[in-house]
Amino acid sequence: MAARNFILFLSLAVCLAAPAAAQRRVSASAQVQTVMDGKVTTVTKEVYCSANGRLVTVFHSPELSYIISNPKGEVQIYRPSAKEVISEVKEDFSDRDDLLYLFLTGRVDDMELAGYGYKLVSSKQEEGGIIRKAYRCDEPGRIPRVELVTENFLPIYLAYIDGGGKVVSKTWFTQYLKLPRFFLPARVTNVSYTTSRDSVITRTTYSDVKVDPDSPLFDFQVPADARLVPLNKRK
Amino acid sequence: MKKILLALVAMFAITLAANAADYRLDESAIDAVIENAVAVSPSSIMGELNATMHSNASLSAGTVNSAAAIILNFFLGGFGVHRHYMGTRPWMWAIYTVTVFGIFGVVPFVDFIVMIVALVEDGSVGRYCGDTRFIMWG
Repeated sequence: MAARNFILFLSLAVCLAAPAAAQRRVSASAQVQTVMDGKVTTVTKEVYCSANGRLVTVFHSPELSYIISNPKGEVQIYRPSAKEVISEVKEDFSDRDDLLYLFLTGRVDDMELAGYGYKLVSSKQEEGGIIRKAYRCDEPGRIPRVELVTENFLPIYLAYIDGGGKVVSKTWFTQYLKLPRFFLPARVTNVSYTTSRDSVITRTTYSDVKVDPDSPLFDFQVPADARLVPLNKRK
Repeated sequence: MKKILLALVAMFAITLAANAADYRLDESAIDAVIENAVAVSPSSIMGELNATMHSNASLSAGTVNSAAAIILNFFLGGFGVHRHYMGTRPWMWAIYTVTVFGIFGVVPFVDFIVMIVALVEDGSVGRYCGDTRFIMWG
């Protein structure tokens, strides 16, 4: 009797959870600041991310533009001022590792490193819920070593290290927001070491994060009368 | 024996502190760097770009369109599209795709800045065309 009730409860929970997960959407404003050589550029964008991986990014500067992408690698860039759309399909343009998409769908265990050929080589647990994982990839064209640190199973630090042991870039995930059914770092800071003396800092700050809002931009479609511009056109 | 033990504990503590420093960020230091930097507006950059584009229209005929390269970088730089447009190794997109994840678009953003500089100094991004290195400005 107890076992039957448990199975019924489990079935109900699965039935309720599945459509809820499929309907999940999140929108956010993002401010991206990049500092190099004492100069800082700030770009703001709005991102509309659906659980199926469809991403609509709206830029208001330097001009109003829409970028639509999905995990299949279909990308469209639409510029309303020129009524033009650049369209391309390439598996490697997939947005499956977009930060918002990763956190929305809970795929932050290895930050999609396995999908790029990285293999876990070691995992060490430390106090305070800290786990340090080391990954390695020997495929040509890949930065060979990655270190991922999580705290209470949320990523807080990601570093890429070249074959000579030099850190190429570091990324910190901080100021986590507790949202319905998932967590999102409100701030992502990256430092890339371009030379032995210089570095470039990029800080992305998410704000106005809304889960399952009612916005038509999630389903934005490029107007049918937009002129298609091939990606490899040369003037 | 006690001294050895104390030394080991000290080394462990120092190692722990060093490791702790790796994955903890001093946000106030980053705030200071950003606050002290000179703000450059993307709109002003694009304004200069448009002006240069019109004045160099004849130079772009039959060659890589510098404005197109820069715009491709701005929107799709994370995929290395601008590099393919300017000519590079066939697998360059793979490196950009991976490193965008790790470097979050910084390399293509640096590409963007150096291409703007090239456009202002040379009138085109020609100096980067055909570059087969991942860091074309290195």
